[in-house]
Amino acid sequence: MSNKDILQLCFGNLLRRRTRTILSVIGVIIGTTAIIVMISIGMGLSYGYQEQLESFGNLHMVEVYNYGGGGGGAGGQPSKLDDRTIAKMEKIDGVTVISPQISQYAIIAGDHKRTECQIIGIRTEMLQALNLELEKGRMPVASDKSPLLFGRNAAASFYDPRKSQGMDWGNTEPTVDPLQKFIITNDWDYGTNQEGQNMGETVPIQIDAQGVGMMASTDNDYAYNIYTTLEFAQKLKEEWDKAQNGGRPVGNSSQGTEYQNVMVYVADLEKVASVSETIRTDYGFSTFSLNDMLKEMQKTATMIEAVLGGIGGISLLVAAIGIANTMIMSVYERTREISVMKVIGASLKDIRKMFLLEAGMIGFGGGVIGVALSYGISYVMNRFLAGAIGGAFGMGSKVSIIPIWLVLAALAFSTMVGVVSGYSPAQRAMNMSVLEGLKNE
Amino acid sequence: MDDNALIRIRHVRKVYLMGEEKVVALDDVSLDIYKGEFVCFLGTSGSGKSTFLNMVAGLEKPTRGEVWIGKVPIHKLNEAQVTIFRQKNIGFIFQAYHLMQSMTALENVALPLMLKGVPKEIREPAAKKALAQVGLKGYEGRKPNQMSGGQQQRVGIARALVVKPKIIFADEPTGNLDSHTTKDVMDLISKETKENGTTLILVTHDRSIADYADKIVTIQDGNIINVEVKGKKNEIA
Repeated sequence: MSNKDILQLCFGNLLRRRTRTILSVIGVIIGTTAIIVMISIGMGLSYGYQEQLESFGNLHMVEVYNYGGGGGGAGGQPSKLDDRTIAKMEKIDGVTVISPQISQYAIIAGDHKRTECQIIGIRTEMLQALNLELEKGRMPVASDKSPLLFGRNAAASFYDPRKSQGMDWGNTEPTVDPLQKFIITNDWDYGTNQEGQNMGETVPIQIDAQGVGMMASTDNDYAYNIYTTLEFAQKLKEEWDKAQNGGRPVGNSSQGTEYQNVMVYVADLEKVASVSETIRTDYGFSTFSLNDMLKEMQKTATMIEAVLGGIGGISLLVAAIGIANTMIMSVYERTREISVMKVIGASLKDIRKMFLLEAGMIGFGGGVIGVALSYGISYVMNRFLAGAIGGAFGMGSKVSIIPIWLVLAALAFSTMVGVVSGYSPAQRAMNMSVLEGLKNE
Repeated sequence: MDDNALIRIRHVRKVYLMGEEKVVALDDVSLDIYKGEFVCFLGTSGSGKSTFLNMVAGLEKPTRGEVWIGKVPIHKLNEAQVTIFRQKNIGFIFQAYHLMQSMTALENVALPLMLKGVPKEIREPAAKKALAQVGLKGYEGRKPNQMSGGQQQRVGIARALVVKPKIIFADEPTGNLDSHTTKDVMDLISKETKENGTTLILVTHDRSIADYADKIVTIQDGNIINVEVKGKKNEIA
């Protein structure tokens, strides 16, 4: 029998038993929808976590800390977090850019306003890798002598010390032009009437710097800092140490300096965890990456997904029983019909194909409608619940996410459920005795 | 016994188990049927005539003995093989017509062709022709429940004829019909099979119907008790 004929025959058979077909299909629709919607909520949750973490910072980043002085590497040798170690760590599989971080807390002044904040020096390659969105100006480059790249909130924190006691933390609008000359100083009274009076032993210093750019984002952990080149930050740090030492240089030069903090950028998100792990175990440093947190959160999300999906799965199981029931009834009802077809030349394979196809059509049809319905429900949830519930559960902008693989998987699954539950009835139809079936009633 | 006969039945025995009890439906039956012959199995209810037909048609396997159709050992084929053999060579006419209630007369007649994989453009004209042959021109679109018993059986006959089978089996084809219609149907069956050179094996309990046949095989208690060939009298098996 040609496939087209079988298909038409099956379709006709299903139509003939309209009510029962529709009821079975409804069962599959409910099952499929339950699975898709449940899992989509889990996916939404997982996406929400990621969204939340991304707002905290960069998922590609592993921060390395020198707490505990490098508790001993693989060889038992305590590692120093210095240039040599960094050069070695750069070769770890997955590391894209690595940069030590030198920071100096200072007072920055310009245009008769000032602010107090962390000036952080990192390699310009790292600044590029961070892919920060700029609102104004450009990134610092290696040839810059004293560049300053303002975080949006840092640029907004400048205040006039004569008019105000301190910075306005809520403000995100820049209060100075970030692309001008600034003075960096260690004098806490700079710009006030008591300038230079409370320094004690410390020698007041003022260093010129040039603003080159400002970031756009207000809600990540770069927003409150000012970034510059590693070299300029190193210079600042040395000057500060010297000033505190009453103006005399402090022993060590930059050679062999131990860093407190090293940033490691891993372009491949899959490798962030392994890089972090390697640095912890092989080098003995503490590491922190949002990715570790994300992994934990995603584990939770996956568990919730599994539980929700399981609940959905139960309803599809019930639907499967419904299909099996429909098909078994159908075999009983059509005993004579099947026998006649066999006698006048239907092959056994065709008979089985017919029943499997009918069951599969119920499964697939229900699946298709279920997918459509799920999209509808998902839309409604995202539209009307995202604000209300989403906020309450710390979820992101979407309550429910239906990725394309979920749709395909659900369709495949519902069709499979149909075929599997149709298998035993089909087998029964195939093996049925022709003579029994033809006995006159 | 003639090895050139189309159908050769050799010492066929069939025993059913009814619970603990063995029931012998066919004892030891041998018969030759020639190409183009119209053979009638005549017997009362329970004589074993229907079992005999089922055995020859491959619907049942004999407990012992052999059934050959041409060079094919029917008794040795499995169900799938028998199905294919039937698809190619055999047509059936039933007492209860056994038409598909959901299909029109045309679709019913075309069904065996469809099962064979014949495309619609070819099988529908063929079915139409077969319907015209049995005198049902214009009834193509009717469903079985919109037709009389005689008309339904004509559809059944057309369905058997449409595949141009070598052999047609008919089990009490007129059992559900009144005497007037019976005559019409029997005339039709014998005429169509004669014209096509089809071998026809018919089972009945009705002597008047048996008279249409070339060869009447009387069966009683699982044995052939008389073979009567038209022209010759009382050839005892």
